[in-house]
Amino acid sequence: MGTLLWILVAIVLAVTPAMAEPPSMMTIVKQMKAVFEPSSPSTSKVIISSTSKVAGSERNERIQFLCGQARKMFPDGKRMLLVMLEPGSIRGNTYLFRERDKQPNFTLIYLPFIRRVRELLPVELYDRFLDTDFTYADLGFVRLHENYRLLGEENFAGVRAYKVEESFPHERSHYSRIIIWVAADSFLPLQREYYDTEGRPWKTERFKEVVTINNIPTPLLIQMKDRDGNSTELKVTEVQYDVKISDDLFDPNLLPKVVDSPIWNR
Amino acid sequence: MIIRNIAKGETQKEIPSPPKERRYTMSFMLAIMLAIVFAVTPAMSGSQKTLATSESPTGMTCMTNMKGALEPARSSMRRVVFSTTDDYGEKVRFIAGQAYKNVSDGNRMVLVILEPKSIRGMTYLFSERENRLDKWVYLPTIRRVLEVKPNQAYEPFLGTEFSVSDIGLVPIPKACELIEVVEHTGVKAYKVEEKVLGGPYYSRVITWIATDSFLPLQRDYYDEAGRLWKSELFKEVTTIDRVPTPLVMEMKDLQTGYVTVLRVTDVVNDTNIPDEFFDPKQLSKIADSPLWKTYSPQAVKGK
Repeated sequence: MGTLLWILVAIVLAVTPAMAEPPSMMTIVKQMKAVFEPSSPSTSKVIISSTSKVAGSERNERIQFLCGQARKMFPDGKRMLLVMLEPGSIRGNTYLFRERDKQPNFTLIYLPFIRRVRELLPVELYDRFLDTDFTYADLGFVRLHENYRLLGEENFAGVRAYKVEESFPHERSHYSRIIIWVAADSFLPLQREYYDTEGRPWKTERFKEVVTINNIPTPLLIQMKDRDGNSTELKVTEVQYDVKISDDLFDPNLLPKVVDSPIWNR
Repeated sequence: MIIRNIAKGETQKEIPSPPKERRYTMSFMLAIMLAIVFAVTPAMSGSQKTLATSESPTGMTCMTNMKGALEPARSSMRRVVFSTTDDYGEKVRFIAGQAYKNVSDGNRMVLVILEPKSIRGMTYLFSERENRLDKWVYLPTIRRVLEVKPNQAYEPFLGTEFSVSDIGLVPIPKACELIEVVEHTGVKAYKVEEKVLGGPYYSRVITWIATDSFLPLQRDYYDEAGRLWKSELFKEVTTIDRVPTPLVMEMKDLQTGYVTVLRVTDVVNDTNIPDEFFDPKQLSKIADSPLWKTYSPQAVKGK
């Protein structure tokens, strides 16, 4: 009995520090990135719904866009494509997000009404995406840099979570900082809180309806609400992992043709 | 006089001293020559550069007068055609209606896209009040009116070489300097430099302003790295209802080679424009105003 007790105490003492010790800040961010942006090639459809006040009235109105999304890992980094499929007025607007090793990420945009592909300047990444509550940067890749800080661990909506702060150089962003709650078990983001350059809370982004598809946990609903009462949600559907996607789909020179790819009819 | 090579510690040469009276004469002559040089130098540099004199206006006066020349205190409407090329060298054209009004507390300007259909109704409002320039945009796709933040004003307007700021009311710079008075493309002009500190787009802008009309002749935009980025030419100045008006503005991106031409037609001055036109809450209705009827493709073809 005494021996058993001593063994139990020894086990508890041995395990406790390991349990209490959280992973390093960079490990958390890298894990979150790996889980949130799986390297397996994938396609999906995204329904973007935006709710805002009708201009000149107190009435709320909901507007919907449909877009196609494709992701693929290339030897020089990840690429992600978003193409507007509906409504007709913006059909063919195409956005290519590229991540490159040891180089800044960049985003290309193709607008059918001027039939030009151009690179967004870094400051433009913080503009509203289609004037919704998301910016291009919000939709792009998780940034890996030194300006993350682990604030601690806490219970977030019933889930044990790491609380991480990402800060930004003032002149380069419309945000001063983002607080991220990352699930300690799955490393998926649970919530991101965005603060404006004056340090005031601006927008809150929630990641919901996590479903495991092909062994990959995938949040199917992402909601962004701003302090003025406007909100936008991304509903992810028709997710397919490990699909064959031609490299051409991610070629900057071929962006005008992306909308007509049969890949969106699968 | 003995001259020593201090470094080597050697005596190099021995020069005999001139007589005392000759030394006084030489000093006197030297003083007179120096006085002449000092007196003449500023005048010479002024004439070489045609530098601004005390009679020249300041850089800020030049820019304020330029704004006054481009935005006279009279209401006006016009049709604006943007022409550029796509990635394949084919022509792309947008047609917009522009309304301008000078009200008691400042200027207002609205620009609404009438063609092509896919972006019809996109409307920009520029409002000046107590030295503050506010901008809004209405986007039919999402049916929201959004404020254009200061940095966003320098983003490409509809992907063209013009920025949102270029097509709106002329912003008065925080600081600028009159560099010189020069002849520019055969016209006597003030050359004014505006330094843009900490901006993510431009580091400085050089403007040549005609000394007689105060209309801009050219604006050169330099990027963050100080390289010449874009050059804007103001052409075909025509007097309409006693208002000299540049009818063509051409913006060339010298780094990509793209050019966008903005052509103004159908200018109507002293027209009655309702104040609601310049109300941010009413922007969604501007495209359907009967005031643009004369700018429809059918009406223009019939002219």
